Amino acid sequence: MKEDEQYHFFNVILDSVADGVFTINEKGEITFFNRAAEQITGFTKEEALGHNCFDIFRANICQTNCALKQTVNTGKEIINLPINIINKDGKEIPISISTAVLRDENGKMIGGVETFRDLSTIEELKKELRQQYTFQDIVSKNHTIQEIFQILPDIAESNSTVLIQGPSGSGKELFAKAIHNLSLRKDNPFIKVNCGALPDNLLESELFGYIKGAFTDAKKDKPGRFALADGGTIFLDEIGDMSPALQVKLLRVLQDREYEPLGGTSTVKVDVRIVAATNKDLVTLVQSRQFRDDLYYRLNVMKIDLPPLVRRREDISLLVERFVERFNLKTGKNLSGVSHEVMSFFMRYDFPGNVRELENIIEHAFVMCKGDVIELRNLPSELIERSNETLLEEKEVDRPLQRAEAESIRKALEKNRGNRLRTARELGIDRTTLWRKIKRYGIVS
Amino acid sequence: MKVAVSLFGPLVSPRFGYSPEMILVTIEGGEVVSQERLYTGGLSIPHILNHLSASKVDALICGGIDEFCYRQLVSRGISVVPDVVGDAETALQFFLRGRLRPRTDCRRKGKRFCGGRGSWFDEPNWDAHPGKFIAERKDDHDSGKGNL
Repeated sequence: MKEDEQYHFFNVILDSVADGVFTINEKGEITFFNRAAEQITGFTKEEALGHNCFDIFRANICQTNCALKQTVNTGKEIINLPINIINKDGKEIPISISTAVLRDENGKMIGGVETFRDLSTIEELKKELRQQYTFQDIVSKNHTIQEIFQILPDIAESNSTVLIQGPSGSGKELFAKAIHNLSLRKDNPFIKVNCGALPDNLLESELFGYIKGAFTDAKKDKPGRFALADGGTIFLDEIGDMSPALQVKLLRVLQDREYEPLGGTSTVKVDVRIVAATNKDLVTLVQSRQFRDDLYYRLNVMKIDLPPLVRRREDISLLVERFVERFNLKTGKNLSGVSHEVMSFFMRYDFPGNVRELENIIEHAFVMCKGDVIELRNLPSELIERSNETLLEEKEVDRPLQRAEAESIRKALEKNRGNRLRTARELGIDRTTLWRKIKRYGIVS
Repeated sequence: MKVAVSLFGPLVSPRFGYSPEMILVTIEGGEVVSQERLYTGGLSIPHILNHLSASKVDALICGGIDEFCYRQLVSRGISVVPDVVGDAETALQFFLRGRLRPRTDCRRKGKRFCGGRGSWFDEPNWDAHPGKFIAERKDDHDSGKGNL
């Protein structure tokens, strides 16, 4: 085969492979660019040849960590390194690259060769599977939570004080952590303080620290949580349980970003972002004068309301999946999930302890379960008993409000001679809602 | 006005957000009155974006830039001239003369570098671009010494 033919033949081969291939000379200029490389980058061969590879690829590693340069300098190959580039259209494309030294027939180095594979499709599929309903460490497809996901990055970036309200076990700490991780303070500390767990003066010394000699046992200075969180975020959980005296001190931190340690005379300045959480309704506490209104307004700059698990039942299967996966990893077991009965029990159960309770139930079941699937009998027995009682109560309709509702439905049905559509219209509810309520209260129409 | 150029040695950085340094140039009456270096090596992208807005930068000259960064900069009121290739000093000169556009190849007398932008790129009104404004001011100063 003549040299020209041979060259043409190699070009045909390299143009037929699905991976992008390009070579550079010792000056870093592109000397070969195959068809797949054209497709992935969007640049044609003619456009790319003779240009520096960094002007064509615009990769995140070009300036600081060029893989091809490393290979040319050290002679060591790099295999399957995930990076991202900007294509001709300005779109970011994830690729995986492998590099090698290019030598002539005498073994003399004449440049480098890089092959690369487009990871967009794989990345997109992975993302779809994993991240569609995941945000930081939070899983949800509930629209209220999805709305929070949408605004969370803006809230995080804003540096404002955030108040998270939601029942216990609804994930307030996870959201606080997500805010911290998305903020510019993410490389600084995230400090958590449970304001309901400590008596008043202990909490004060815990938050603000103390100076040597402040009290009998204060043998040396101790920095408080605010000092530890300097530059970062402090998460004040159960803020509704804080005493009025401490509320005043906290208000000062919020207003002036300064405080005095216990027994200290000088003021300490602090740069800290405050995320507070409570399972109580602060507005009611403010009305009953248990919580200072000025502190409430200072805290309530950005407010996130987390719904209880009963109001996001659509998340139960996702959460169960997540917990089973997590406990499989933790315990070394390989359970495939929960049985149909367990799932339908979860769908009816009212989860007073919210997501945390669900997690605990799954953890309990993991210990008890000997098979591949979690069955009803693996769940805590008191849970089944308690829920049976609740279900019975509902059947007997002995709650005053529900009794009144059942009575109104009965009367309206009588009036409309059992016509459900007209009854629903009269009551101002949907036909299916009426049907559900009739079934629930056992009304015979 | 202040113009930032993200650097790769003497060249315009091929990728914004991953360059170790930038140059911030203050321009008054079409002339460079001062310049300073901004070291961005190891900084995260939000940090770099914040630095630029805190430094009151009006325009950024860069090479490749992803959609996220581009939108963040524009929303902070910074005009971005992306996909510029070649010598940073030459790019700045082109900018001062109101001749810098996206994809300007500064090694080839300002010819357009092969490249394009996707549908997410809202092509600004380049005639109303700050670079153009400076060029007009400079022409006033030069009182008709010929258009650069």
